[in-house]
Amino acid sequence: MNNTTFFRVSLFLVLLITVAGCRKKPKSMTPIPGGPGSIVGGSSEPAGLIDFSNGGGSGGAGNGFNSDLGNGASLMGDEFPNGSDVNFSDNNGNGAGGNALPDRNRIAGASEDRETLAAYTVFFDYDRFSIRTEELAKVEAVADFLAAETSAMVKIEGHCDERGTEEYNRSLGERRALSVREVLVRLGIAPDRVTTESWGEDRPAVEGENEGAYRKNRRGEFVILRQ
Amino acid sequence: MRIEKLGPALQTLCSLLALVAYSANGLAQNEINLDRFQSSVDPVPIQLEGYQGSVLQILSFDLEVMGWEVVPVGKGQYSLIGDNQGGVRGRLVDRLGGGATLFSRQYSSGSVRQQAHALANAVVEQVFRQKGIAHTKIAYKSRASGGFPEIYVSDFDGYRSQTITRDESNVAAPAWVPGQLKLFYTSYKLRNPDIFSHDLKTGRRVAVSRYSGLNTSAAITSDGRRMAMILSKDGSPDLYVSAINGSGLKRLTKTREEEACPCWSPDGSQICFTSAAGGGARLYLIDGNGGTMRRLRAAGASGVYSEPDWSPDGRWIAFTALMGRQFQICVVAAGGGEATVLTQGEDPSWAPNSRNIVFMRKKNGRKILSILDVPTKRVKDVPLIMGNSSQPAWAR
Repeated sequence: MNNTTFFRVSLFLVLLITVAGCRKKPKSMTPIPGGPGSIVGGSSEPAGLIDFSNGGGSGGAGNGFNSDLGNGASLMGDEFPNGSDVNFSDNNGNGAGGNALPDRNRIAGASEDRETLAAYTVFFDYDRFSIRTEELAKVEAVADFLAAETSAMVKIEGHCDERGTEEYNRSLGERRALSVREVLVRLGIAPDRVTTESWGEDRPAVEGENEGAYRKNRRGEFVILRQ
Repeated sequence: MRIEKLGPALQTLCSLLALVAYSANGLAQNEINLDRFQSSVDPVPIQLEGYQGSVLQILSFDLEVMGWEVVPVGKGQYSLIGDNQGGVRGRLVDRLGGGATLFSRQYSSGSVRQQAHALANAVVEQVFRQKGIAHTKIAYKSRASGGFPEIYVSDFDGYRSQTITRDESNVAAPAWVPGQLKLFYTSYKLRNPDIFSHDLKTGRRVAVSRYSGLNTSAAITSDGRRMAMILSKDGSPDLYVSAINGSGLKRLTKTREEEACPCWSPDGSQICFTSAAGGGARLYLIDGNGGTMRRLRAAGASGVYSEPDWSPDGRWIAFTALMGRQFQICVVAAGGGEATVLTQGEDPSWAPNSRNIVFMRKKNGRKILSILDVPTKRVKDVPLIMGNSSQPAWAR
């Protein structure tokens, strides 16, 4: 309990230093529903879809993955023979530097929990990636959660509304996710616990061509990763 | 793929006939000057006599895409007379030029579809002295309702579409290796957006860029040796180049803001791309080996610029500008200057003739592919492609 208190105070100090002037209410850390350690509803979506034939465990770069382009001879026709193999070139390393993203082998095979932090989705202004002041409390709460559940990692999924082109939005979505990640790191979360994934405009939260829909689609979602 | 398929004897005959026709007629008057696209050029009226069914349909589509307008008999400046009983036959007559026959051709090998495309190309090449695009292919992303987005390849007119991926996750940004049946694209198959190369002849594919974070928007040089792409592994989405197998990676930009959508100049010396570094998203040029980012001036357009595509002849850059609430396809000289708004839509990709552009537009809430003829500004929708389709890439 003392440790937790100490951690909260430290977090608060870090936050004051880094985002001084941005916050209206200092005591705005929103508690996680049920509190840290008593998470309910953590759905463990199976990894599905991904068929690593030698697993995604530690060390291995996942060789031997086969993409089955199917045995549909008619689909591949004479110009596109069957039997595609996926071979990995060996470039899974990360660039040097304190803010480099975590090694992918660390999250291979992790289960995804999209429920627990669903209420903490961060929303963005149009064509912007900075975190709005009123959204900061959500990131703080997630930092708080990660500080308590030390074995969990988090993936931030960056999304955009459709008022950008697909590839521009894929970059913008990643930039948004990285902005959220930067705040988590400033709040004391180890960089190698936070990963990002951009979906651009490909997975809108709501359909619709109006500002109400756009506002809900410009977002960063938190997905807890557990081994 | 082209006339080679028709057999050497016929090919020689065709060349001879074409040669005779060229020398018999001054053709320059019908050449389309691309510089004139600010005020659009009128399509050339042609009448089709004696064709039926799919051949008539193919000839009409191909010719109308490439700067012609099919008109009723009696109204055409040119007349294409023939039939499709057995092989496709065609005689091109210049009705304003005293009824001179410009060529007479008969196709015997290949499918009827290929024969009709070859005849359409022949008309274009005869009169405009530009290579036809009727035998070309496009790659694109498409999602059937309720399904996953996958990469497809089809003829430029949407026929003979083939599924390239069955990754059941998400895909993006197909890009051809120029002159080869080989694609690069992004797939989320490995729980991350990664860049794959995919040889369509052998079916072999390789994950060439699978760093942590974003790997996307691959673009390959004309010589097929180098790749430009967007990676975020170092903390921000930046522009990188490497060999096409991913080796020799070099970071070209180091901005905090996002970069996106690189394309190469045809000579492989420069990259045009989008960056938000100056505030809003604008187009920039950078040397393919690195250096300073230079803003590409595109006066007259406004809003968010992205998706540049350099014309194969090196002269133009087409791009998408979000102006107000509308996406517009624009074009600007490769050295920068006054931009011209061409038509509503997104994600332009030049055909090998540097004249046509395939792009995506919204129609009744659905994303469809359309083809623009830049000089005439005519737009025709690509038929047959179902679902939501986007990010077309013209093989060239």
